[in-house]
Amino acid sequence: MSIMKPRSLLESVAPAFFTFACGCSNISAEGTLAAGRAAPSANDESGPETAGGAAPAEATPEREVESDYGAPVATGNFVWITNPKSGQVAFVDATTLRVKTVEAGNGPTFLGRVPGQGVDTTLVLNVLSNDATLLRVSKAEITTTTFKVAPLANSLVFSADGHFAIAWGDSRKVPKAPKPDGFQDLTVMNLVTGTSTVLAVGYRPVAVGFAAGQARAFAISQDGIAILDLTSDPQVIKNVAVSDTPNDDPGSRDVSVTPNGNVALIRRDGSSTITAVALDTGLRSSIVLPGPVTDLDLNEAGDQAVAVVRATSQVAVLPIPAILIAPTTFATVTVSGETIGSVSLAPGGQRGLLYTNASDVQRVSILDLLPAPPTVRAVRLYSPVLAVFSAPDARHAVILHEKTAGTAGEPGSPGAFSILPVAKALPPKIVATFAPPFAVAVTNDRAIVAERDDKTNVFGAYLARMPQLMVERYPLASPPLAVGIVDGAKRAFIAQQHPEGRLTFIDLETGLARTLTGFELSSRVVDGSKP
Amino acid sequence: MTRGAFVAVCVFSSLVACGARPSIYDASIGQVRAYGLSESVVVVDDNAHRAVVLSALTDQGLGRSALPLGKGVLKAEASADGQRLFVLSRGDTTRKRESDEKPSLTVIENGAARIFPLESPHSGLSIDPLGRWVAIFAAPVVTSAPVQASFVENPNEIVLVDLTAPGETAVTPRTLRSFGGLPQRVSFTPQLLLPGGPRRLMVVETDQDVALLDLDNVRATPRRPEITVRLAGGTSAIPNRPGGFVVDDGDPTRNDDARLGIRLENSPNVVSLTLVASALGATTEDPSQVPNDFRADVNLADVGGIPGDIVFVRTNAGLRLAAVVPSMKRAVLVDLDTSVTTTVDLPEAYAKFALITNVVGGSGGDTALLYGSGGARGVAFWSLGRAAGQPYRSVEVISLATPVASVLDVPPPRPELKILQGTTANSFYGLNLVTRTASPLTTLAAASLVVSRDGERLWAFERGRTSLAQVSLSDLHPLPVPLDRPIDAVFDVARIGGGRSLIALDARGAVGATVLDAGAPDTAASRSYYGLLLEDL
Amino acid sequence: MSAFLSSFVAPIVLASSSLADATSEPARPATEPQIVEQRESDVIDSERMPALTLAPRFDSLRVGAGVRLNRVDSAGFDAFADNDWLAQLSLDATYAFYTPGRLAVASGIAWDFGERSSNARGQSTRLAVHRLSIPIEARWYFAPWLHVSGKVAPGAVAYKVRVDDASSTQPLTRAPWGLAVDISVGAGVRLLGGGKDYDPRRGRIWLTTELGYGATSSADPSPAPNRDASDVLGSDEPTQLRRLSVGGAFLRTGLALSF
Repeated sequence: MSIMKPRSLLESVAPAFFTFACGCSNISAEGTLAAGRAAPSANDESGPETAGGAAPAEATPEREVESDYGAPVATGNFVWITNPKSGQVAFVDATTLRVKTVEAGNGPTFLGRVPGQGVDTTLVLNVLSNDATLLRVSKAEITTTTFKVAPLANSLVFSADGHFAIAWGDSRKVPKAPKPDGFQDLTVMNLVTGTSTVLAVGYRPVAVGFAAGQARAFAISQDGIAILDLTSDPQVIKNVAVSDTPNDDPGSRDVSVTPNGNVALIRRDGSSTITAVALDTGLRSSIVLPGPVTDLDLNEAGDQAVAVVRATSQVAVLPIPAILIAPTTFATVTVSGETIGSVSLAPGGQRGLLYTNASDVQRVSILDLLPAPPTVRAVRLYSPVLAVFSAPDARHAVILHEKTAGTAGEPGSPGAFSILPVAKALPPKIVATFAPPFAVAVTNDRAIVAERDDKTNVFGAYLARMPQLMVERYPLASPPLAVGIVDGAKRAFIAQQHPEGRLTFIDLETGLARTLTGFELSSRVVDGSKP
Repeated sequence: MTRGAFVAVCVFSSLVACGARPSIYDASIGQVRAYGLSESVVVVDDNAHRAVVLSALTDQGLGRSALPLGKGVLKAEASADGQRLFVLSRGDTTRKRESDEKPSLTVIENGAARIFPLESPHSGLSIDPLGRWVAIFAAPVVTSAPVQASFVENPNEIVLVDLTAPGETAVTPRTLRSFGGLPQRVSFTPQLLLPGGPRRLMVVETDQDVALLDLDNVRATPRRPEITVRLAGGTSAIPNRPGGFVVDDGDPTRNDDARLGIRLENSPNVVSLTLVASALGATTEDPSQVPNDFRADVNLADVGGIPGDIVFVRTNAGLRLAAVVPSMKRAVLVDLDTSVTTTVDLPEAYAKFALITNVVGGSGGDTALLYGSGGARGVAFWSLGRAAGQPYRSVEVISLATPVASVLDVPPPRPELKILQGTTANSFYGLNLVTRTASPLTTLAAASLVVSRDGERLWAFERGRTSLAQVSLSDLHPLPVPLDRPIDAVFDVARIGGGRSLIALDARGAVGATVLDAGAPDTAASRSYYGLLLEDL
Repeated sequence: MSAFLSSFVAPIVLASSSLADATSEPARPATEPQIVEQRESDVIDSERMPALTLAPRFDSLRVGAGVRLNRVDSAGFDAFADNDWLAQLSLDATYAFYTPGRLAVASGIAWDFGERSSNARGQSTRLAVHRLSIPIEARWYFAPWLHVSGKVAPGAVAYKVRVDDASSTQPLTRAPWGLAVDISVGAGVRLLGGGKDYDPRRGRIWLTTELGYGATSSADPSPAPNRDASDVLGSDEPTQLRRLSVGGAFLRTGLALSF
């Protein structure tokens, strides 16, 4: 199965973008973020954490920072943006800044890039007409295909070859959804044949993915993991339980599935046990760690998982699938003197970044998984860590810092970010921002960080160059919504909030910024040329 | 009856049959329209189908000559440089004979008339400031303007007349694509460096969009389509109405940064168009056309309120589009690359700009004169060079007793002077942009002001009365020169043989005029003329 | 107008007829004197009868009044009239100073006066024309009651131009003059006063008609306000109207008293 955690999925797709929604209007209260994998629910019994030493009985949960599908999508040389009001999807040529629009359905809202296509292709979910429109742009023409989709769909996932797409409803994006709304309908779309099939899975799925190399998909829900057979007529062939106790509180489960779809790993908040499940046979194994597991991350290849035990500052490296057979055979690394609660494995799986954002800790640790046993190097930062984003080549990482309140001896700061050389033992560069960091996009040698403060009307974007660690700030005219990088045009884009639509493009080589406002207006420039 | 008697009867009968005088004697005078050119005054005598050209001769003499005009004058306008008068005529409404007149455009220059026949009558006219083009179109209907010129009129048909082309190729009709808009204004840009080379554009503002036409290729074959920028958003039926535009050619070494800024009358947004290269290999939907070698990139910037005026300015931070928003008492500088706006609070609700950098200079940036009649008293100088901590250097206010309704430019050798006319009666000001002083001049009644083309003097008169005064612009010394007849208009024109004369028109009856020496006006040496439209009938 | 003109046509036709009659009647051949019974009244006192003359006796002095209708060719006249006709009151007084036989050559003085007024482009205009001439007329009497004539009348014509233009507080006026000469032919027929050639002098009423062509030199009618010098600001310039003349064909008819 080619399932990866949504964050990793987007990292592997260029352009990749992340929206860090913290303190902003599009997230739920209390800093709970839109998450691509199971996040702590309201019923989570984890409590606050004290720095270092033994963990209290109820530790403050780590916060997951994930991507937002509702943001613009980039394909090849275009950036696609929906206008739900007009039913149009605008696509902007990132090189020429020429804007064209194409009609989708009623209320086009969520976009997804279709991988593995020869031409720029996106799929847009039309929430008011309950369908999806496949848009293909070639030099000669724009073609559209419409698929019927189940209601409440607000997320998209694609098979690696782009043959299949699944539209599903992530209940976490609809915070006030009443309990009877199960969001159980998935729509499997065959993008080749142009057909769609609605299937029902378990209650409120939290992740959907495809198995690499197989005509299979899965959906992780509170009722287990549903396995979907896509060979001819798509259907749910089985539902694999992830717990011996079906009445186990589903909100505290964090499930990861290997890319080949064979193994699922389940972490539960407050529990020191990780459950490994073979999805084909249903075999379950319990892996017991020294303390409650605060984070679990799976590498790209799916042959290794890293679990973090904040209470003991330990990291367990779990071999997959061997851990199913030998649940006690795994390496453990103790990160002495550091408080760690989360891990972010870099693409390639050779390195990981260990940190915590449950407390104000101004350090990260770089975990090198290549040597045996793995080694750890701590790096000092100068502001509490909020989130960590690794570059695709894992040579650098961007670390977002929390807004800090002032104290008697030190003024507060609206926010900051650091650029951390990971491959080399060099000090990170911290950049103070004028507003809390809002969104990040990272490539091997560039990073874009957007900042946003609606109260003070401070909006900006920072372009960071690696390995030079040179940073430039660009003021923005409107609140940023999302950032991304269009590899083909070698430009970063920042989508902003504006009634007419606004994008700022920054040339990654020259640093020249150009803003385009008014997509509908731009598309209504008639010059007699063929579209 | 003898043969001789019979012959006598026939002779007398035939004599009785003839003797009616030419119809011109029965043509009433009608509304008198006079236009000042640099060396003459042209009185359009529509009912007599002629223009009477008055020229100043030595010793306050007045030369009079008549030139033919087409029947049914719809509009007349003088060029800004005073070299030409353009007159649009309807012609004979019903042509019964070959000799009946067609609609026409008459261009009067150097005492001669050149007539361009047109296919159909039009009521609107726009003159190229550089003197090459005239655009003829259907004028927007306003209460004071003539009604539609013919039974059916296509307002999107623009007839372009190239004054430098030979007669047979001078007139080029062009119908613009339309989305329901009606042209309101037609303007011409200066030469811009575009991707395809230096070009001039014709800009047509309708009530809901803006069209750009490449003038240098207007007669090219295959044809090049115009570029239409539709200003209405797709989700609203309320059109965004353009209220004027400004143009900037950008960096002289670049051909992809020429810009137009468009003010919207009913929106707080300003629209900027950047003229960039067309996509390579682009083709047109109409196979008989070829695409333009440039296209327009559109951008919007919200300036917080409906702008009264916009202008491109140069600051230390680069080119900006400045908008003055009287409702907010502010000016806004828009960075066209990022749409980032910088707000500058103003002490008054100024509504208009005038760039004066070429007169007063600017340290690192432009200098603009702010004025306006909407509650703003006085004017302000806005220096746009950067100062520490703020995006502009200073706003210096010169407070006057009245809001400024209009600003008259003074030609060289005194471009540093501006004449400010207030909204309320009886004063006007001589504003020196260099010394930043405003000298009031008071009048006994509301005065009409005319600045001479040689920049040496100003004439103030009370319309319909005999009051007249000359104000020397070198020292603002007023010299009363009351006449003995009511004055409807004054024209300071060059005199044949040297010097300048003032021709004061009295529009009563068959139109009279009084001629004085403009430099040293002396009513004792003036000459009064009467019944000018009775002459040469 | 047609009735007016027919009154001229009729006498011309009549005169022509009379002329025709006079010329067409064959000469009476010489015959023997006829014995006519004499009446007392017919007795002629030979002592009182004057000596027989070979030519008839003509009325020497004639005064006449009539109407002259002048067709004006000049474009300058258009400003003052909506057609090309100028009607004038015509008065003349002549004395036949040379009367050999049936021919009488007379001369005297004549005065024609007329006015036209109109609007030029809505402005009132008026033109008064006075023509003073010295007619030199040669009359040939076919009979004591009928003559034809040819006349040359050099003289002068005075114009009085007025234009009421609202651009001037004063009317625009001018009074130019020019030379004039009339050449005409005509006829006269005696209406009243009868008698024969040798009757004593008494008043006789004639109906005269003549048709001719009057030539006048053109004059510049350009009027000006003609204000008092103390009222003029600088100088007042004339309005340049077209040059004016009242030359053209004319017809004069009227009554004359001869004695």
